[in-house]
Amino acid sequence: MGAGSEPRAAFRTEKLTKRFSGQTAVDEVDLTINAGEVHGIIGRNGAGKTVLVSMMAGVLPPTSGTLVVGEFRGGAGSYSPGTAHSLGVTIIPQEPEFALEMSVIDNLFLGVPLKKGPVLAHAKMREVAAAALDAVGVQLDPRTKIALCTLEEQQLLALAKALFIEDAKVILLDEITASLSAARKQQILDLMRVEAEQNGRAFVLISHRISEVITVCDRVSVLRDGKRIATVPSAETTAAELAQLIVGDDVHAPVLDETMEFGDRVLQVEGLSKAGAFEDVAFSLRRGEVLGLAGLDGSGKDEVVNALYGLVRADRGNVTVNGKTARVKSPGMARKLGVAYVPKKREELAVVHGMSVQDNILLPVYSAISNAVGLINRRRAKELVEARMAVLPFKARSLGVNIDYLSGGNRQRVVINRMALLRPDVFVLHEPTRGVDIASKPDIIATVRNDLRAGSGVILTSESEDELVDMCDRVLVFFRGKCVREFIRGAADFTSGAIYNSLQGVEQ
Amino acid sequence: MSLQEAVPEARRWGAREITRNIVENHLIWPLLAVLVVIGAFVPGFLSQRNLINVAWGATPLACMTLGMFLVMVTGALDLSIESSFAVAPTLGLLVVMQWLPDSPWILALLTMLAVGLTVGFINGLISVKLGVNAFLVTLATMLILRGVVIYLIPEGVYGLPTGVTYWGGARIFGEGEANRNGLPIAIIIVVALVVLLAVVMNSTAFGKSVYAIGNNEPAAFVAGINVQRVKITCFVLAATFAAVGGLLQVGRLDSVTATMGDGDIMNVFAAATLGGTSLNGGRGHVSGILGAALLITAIDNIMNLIGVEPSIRRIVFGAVLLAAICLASIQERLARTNA
Repeated sequence: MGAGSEPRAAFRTEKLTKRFSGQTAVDEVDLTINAGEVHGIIGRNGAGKTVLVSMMAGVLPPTSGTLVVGEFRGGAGSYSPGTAHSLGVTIIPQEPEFALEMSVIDNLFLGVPLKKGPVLAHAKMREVAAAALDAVGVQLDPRTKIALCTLEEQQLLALAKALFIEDAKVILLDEITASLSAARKQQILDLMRVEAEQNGRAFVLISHRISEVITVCDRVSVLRDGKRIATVPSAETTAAELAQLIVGDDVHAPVLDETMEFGDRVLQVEGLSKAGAFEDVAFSLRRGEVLGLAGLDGSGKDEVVNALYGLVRADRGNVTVNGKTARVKSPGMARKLGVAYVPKKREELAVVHGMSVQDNILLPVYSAISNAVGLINRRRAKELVEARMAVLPFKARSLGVNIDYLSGGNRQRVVINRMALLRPDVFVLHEPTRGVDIASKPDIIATVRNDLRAGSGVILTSESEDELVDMCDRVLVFFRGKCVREFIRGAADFTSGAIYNSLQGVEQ
Repeated sequence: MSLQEAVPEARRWGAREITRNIVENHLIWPLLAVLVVIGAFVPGFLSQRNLINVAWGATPLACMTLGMFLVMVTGALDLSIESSFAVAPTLGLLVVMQWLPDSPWILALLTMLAVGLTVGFINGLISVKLGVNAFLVTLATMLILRGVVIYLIPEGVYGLPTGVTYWGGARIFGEGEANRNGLPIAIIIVVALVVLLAVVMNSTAFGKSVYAIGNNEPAAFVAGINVQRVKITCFVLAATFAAVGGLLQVGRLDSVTATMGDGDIMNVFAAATLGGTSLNGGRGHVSGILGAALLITAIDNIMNLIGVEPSIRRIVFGAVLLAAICLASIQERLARTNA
């Protein structure tokens, strides 16, 4: 951006709003993206970042409001992904969609081929592709199949396509930096700077990391509860100030009406390490205690959780459950050791599609309620399901109904009931409130506090710091693979804001 | 949400629900009924003796298809079933007739069982433990085992011990002349196997695990099910069911030939699919297998009675297979749409 010249708006939203069945995800957002700038959008999970950008890309029609791109003005119905494309607006999603069995070069030119007369200009396309790959720092033969490229490379290829082949003017990046390695990330951020300044392109960067947006972006817009709270030039702000804007004044602290008397030590983790994921993680857990693990993506908390259930194998370190020490290598081993698990990817790893609700609840306990010849005790099965329904009920026409007919929140209730029946020493809940409706969240939180905690230790993660504060007795914050801080229920700093600052690496 | 709302209401069984359930899960029985009506116009088809023969003739196919059913529910395929069907009786009979003469006939049965278990275990080990595509693994074992049979008994084996042929050949309820219309024991054995497998699939933890693996293998794994062991067990049971089918077939025909079961895998596949077993795994009913085996044998029987040429029969069976696959695909789509 030349000094003194008036910035030109490349993209504008006017009172852009999106509601999902009564919930307002994005609330009358006015946002101006200038040509030649890198514009950061930051906010906590659920603040509306992804919904906003999806509307800007035309992927999601807005409920109301207007999108302005150059001379074009449009809203719901007139602004489709095709329109966005023709106006030079491109989104780079977290998981780009490519034709996996085709080559890099085929994918780069898919839909926008270079031709020489009626035939494809192969030599020219190879030349352009090689230059584009070089610019984004991907060292690959352009004839490689996309299926053989890593997710990181695929994201970079999508960026290369947007910049050098489609010549997009406004490029929306949905958290693409979350999974990039440090060296690659720097290269991409430098490339964005050059493309913005020299070619007047506009970049919109969604990020969870305060430190990243503050160093890369020209301006940063903060979203909170679907509203744009502020847009600040990053040269004039600090990480602490941004954190304050993101969290707001509403300090979420727990209601202290429970006694916290814990039983014996049920889990002990010592020196748990995995190269590139987490290092020297140590903590313990007592019966009746709920321990939350907090951290950004890539902080190592997710891998630690999966290591406890044998889905990730640690390089070093011990896990002791109820006095038995073992290296957990598989879910079967973890189960025997006394660990039960609710996975983060519910549809892929928890719901057994096509089977009944009852089968989904009882699957892991069927062998325990079978008689000597292996027949399942049907009366006992019914009793068990009914006992769970009394604690965490779900809506289903009957227990024999296919689980696929249930809503996401009810499926999650079924999955949590399944695991609760195992009555293990340790519950591991990987984002138990992910992808459930508003009505289910308090029920799940209450089940954790009132039911699962009784007689067992609970370890959980959540994307929402508010929920961590509601559910946990103690929260461990992970930062770059290490456990850096502990928050204890009852202490003055046991608030969602303090936890948020800590996991961002912002100390106040 | 109140508990009141959450308590499941009693299942309604209106005409709509019943029709839907039949179309989704038990379509084979109306098809069989249609075939019987058509058969009424074919002289001799509806005689008691012919109907018993159809059921009797369906027993080997039913055994093989029960095995295929198990493997298909886990989401895999086993082509070698048609060869296990031949190699098990071949080895069993050679043991008692040539290699260890004078040994009791029970040794033949035990050998057949052992062959079934071993073949299934090898199929399972290679495809599950090494993670090789089961279709290709069993394609290879199908060829290998067929080669073994042809090498061992190029001319076939005749004059079998009665202890072996009894299971597939003998009839009860009928003395002397009336014995020709008696009930073959093979039918009783197959009905018993169907009931047994139905109980295993619906009322044991193993059966639930098999369905769970076919519907969502990663979820079954995360739930703590020993996925590999269950899948290998299914291959073992599949080959064992095929061996039992072979035992019944040699009893029925009183001989073993090198081509016994050769090419039958197509009928097994058609029967499993017609019986409502999903190619994608996770869906299927044991009862449907029985109906489908009867249907396919009845079609063959009707063509026999009216003297259809062998070439035309192939065309008919090809059409049956095509129809089965289309029907299965429609059923699956129906099952996916909300009730």
